[in-house]
Amino acid sequence: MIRDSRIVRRLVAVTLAAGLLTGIIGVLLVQVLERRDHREAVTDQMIGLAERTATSIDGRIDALGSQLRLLSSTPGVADLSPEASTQLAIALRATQTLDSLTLYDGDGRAAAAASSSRLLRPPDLPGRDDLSVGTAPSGPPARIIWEGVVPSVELGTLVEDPPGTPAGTLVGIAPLVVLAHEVTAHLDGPSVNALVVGEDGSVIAHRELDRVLERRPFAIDEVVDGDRPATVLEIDGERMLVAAAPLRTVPAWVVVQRPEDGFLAAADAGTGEVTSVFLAVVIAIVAAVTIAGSRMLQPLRPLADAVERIGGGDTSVRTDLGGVGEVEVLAQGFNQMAERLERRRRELEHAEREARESEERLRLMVEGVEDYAILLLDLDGTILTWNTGARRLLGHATDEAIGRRLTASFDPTDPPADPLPLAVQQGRAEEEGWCRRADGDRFWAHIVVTALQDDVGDPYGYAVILHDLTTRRAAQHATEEALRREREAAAELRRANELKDEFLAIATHEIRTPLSAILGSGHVLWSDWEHLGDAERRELVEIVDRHAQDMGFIVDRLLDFTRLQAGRVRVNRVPIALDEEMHRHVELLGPQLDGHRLDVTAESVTVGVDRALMRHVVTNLLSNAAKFSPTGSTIALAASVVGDRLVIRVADEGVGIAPEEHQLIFELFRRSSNDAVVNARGTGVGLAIVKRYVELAEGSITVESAPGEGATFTVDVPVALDPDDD
Amino acid sequence: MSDRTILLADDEPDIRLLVRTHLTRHEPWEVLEAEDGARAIAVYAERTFDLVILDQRMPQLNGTEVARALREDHAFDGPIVLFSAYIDAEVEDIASDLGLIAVEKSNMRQLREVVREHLAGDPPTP
Repeated sequence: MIRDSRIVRRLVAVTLAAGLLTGIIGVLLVQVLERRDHREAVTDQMIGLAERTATSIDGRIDALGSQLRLLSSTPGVADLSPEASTQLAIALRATQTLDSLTLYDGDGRAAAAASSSRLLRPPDLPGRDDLSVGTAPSGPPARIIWEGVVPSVELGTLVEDPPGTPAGTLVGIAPLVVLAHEVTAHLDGPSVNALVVGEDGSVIAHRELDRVLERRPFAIDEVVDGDRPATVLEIDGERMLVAAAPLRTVPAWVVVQRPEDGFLAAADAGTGEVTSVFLAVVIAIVAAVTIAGSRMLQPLRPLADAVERIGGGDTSVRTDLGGVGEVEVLAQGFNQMAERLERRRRELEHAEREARESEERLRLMVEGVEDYAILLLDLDGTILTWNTGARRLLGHATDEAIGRRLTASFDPTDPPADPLPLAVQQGRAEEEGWCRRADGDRFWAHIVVTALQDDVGDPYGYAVILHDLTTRRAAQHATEEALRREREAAAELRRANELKDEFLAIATHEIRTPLSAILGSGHVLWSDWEHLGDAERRELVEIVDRHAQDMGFIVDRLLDFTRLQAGRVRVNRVPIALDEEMHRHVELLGPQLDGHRLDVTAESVTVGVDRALMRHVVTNLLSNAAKFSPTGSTIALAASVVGDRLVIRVADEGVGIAPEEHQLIFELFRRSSNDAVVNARGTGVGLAIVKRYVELAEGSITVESAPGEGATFTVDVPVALDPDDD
Repeated sequence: MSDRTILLADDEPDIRLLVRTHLTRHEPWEVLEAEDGARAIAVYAERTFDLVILDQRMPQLNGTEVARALREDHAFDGPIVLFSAYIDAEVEDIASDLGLIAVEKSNMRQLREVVREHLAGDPPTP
């Protein structure tokens, strides 16, 4: 297994690096600690050594002091007798330590003396004022004296005679060679050096030098100036550890010193072992980690293999449940996961199969639909699928249609609105309009477009359903048309009914007016007959006659109109000589045209035309012109044949008609709204009758007029040019 | 000679002749004529009238319009006859609003009786 050995290698490398680092840091730490501890221990040793040496020297000096005190109390010495010098010489020889003994009397004068190396005569010796009795009652202290370059210790003791009464002083001097010996005696090891330093910093004794032959300074202040009387000093170019201890008996210090390198090397020698131990431990750890790593990874190998296989798509793989603890749990977890994965895979396969089948069913269904074109478009409106219905409806073969645009099937002359933009906005859009088949035929299509979106709502195309509604639309139009006609008919009927009511009301009134005159005249004639003259009677009878004629005229027109309205008039063309006919009607109108100048022009031609039509047109237009134009003005009547049509034109110089009323005047009982003519004699029936008659004969009537400029009515009707055939 | 003056407005000359003849044949009444509504008001302003007869259907101003002008603008509170070819409910309503006496044109006898009734009694005897 490549992978786990790599893991082990990595583990070993990391462990090794960590171990080595720890080891190095540890060794360095140990070294530092070791040096510090060693220095402390050596320093302690050195201080101890100095103290022991000091104690020993003090002991020797104390012993000397005791010997002096003993000597001072011996007879001869105590009483300062002349024999004292002998006593002193004896004592000097006995001690072998003292160099000289001198006895001073109470005044500080030398009384006796003895020396081991020279002859001393007491009278030659200088007096010692400091030793006069009374000034040093407790005896002189030990002190260090220099004779040239030779340091010695001077010891003094009181001489009492009798005891309790100081009589003089006994002073002994011992050379410091003794001290040097003491120093040497208490040292061990070759590297350790010792010396005694006086209070003034002079070296008094030196271990390596039997005698101190010159005054040498020593920086004792630097040694004792600290918590402990020890320090490191640079002496003769060498770093020395120096320790000191004070002497009790004389004002001086014992100093011991040794080179620093010596003991530090000793300390480092100790650390080497520690380093080896560390290295051994690191190697052991690395070995342990290598073995343990490999062994721990061993049970994971099958699992790793299984993972590799499952990664390759083999979801049926399971791993052995070997191993312990976490590895077993891992294996179980892996197996469960693999189990679920396989289950999920099966479900997916199943769902996928179902979806495929469902899609196929849907596809077959869509494909099978014949009456509806069902197509899918991409976002640009390009056709992607095309079913049987689409082939049937739009006429294009599938491979021809795919890639075309839907709008290409819209009728180019009258296309429906493109429903796609609306579908984008609203999700769905419906549209109706003309589409065009492959063969060019139009059909009325109902188009439903649904915008398609994917799972995250992004549009990816359109589903379009197209249906031919041409037949339904035609039927609907027919129904609407029928309904419209029915409505129109109903409206017509309503209008006719209203017209009838109006007709009756107006007719009644119109008839009533002449009737009133007739009735009034009759009453007056009857009731006032005796009071009326002939002329008056005649006038009244004329009124009756005139109004009776008016009434007759009105009734005739009304009858004409109702007959026209009821369709009981038939056009019956008979040969008529145009000029004769015109003049005959002018004469028949007679009194109505009195007061107007008449200008008649008519072709001498015979045409086949309906006689009643001629009468209605000429009499109505002429009487109308007479009614609406002032007395004395000219009325022009012209009749001519143009092609196969008869044109009759009547022009007056009357009040005229506003353009907006040109159509209204042809309606029943409509007259110009001009106030001046509202009550002019007339029925409002004439023009309506003319218009209906003319239309019945398939002709037309028009008017040209403006207010104040007269009016010209023109009638144009077809005629038979060869009336004999009629 | 005449002790009563009547204003007669009608656009129909035959009717004016009939009314004048009928009213003046027996009574000493004077009848002044106008041929439309506007002229009726002008004539009224020239004289003092005891009674006014107005055709309903006249050019310019119709009978009721003239009557309203006489009542409101000229403070005429005497009798006004509204003379109409046909009296329907509408004409009656207008007549009663303005205090007019509506008479049909065909009924010449009623007209004479109405005039006599209103002018009889208190005329200054000649």
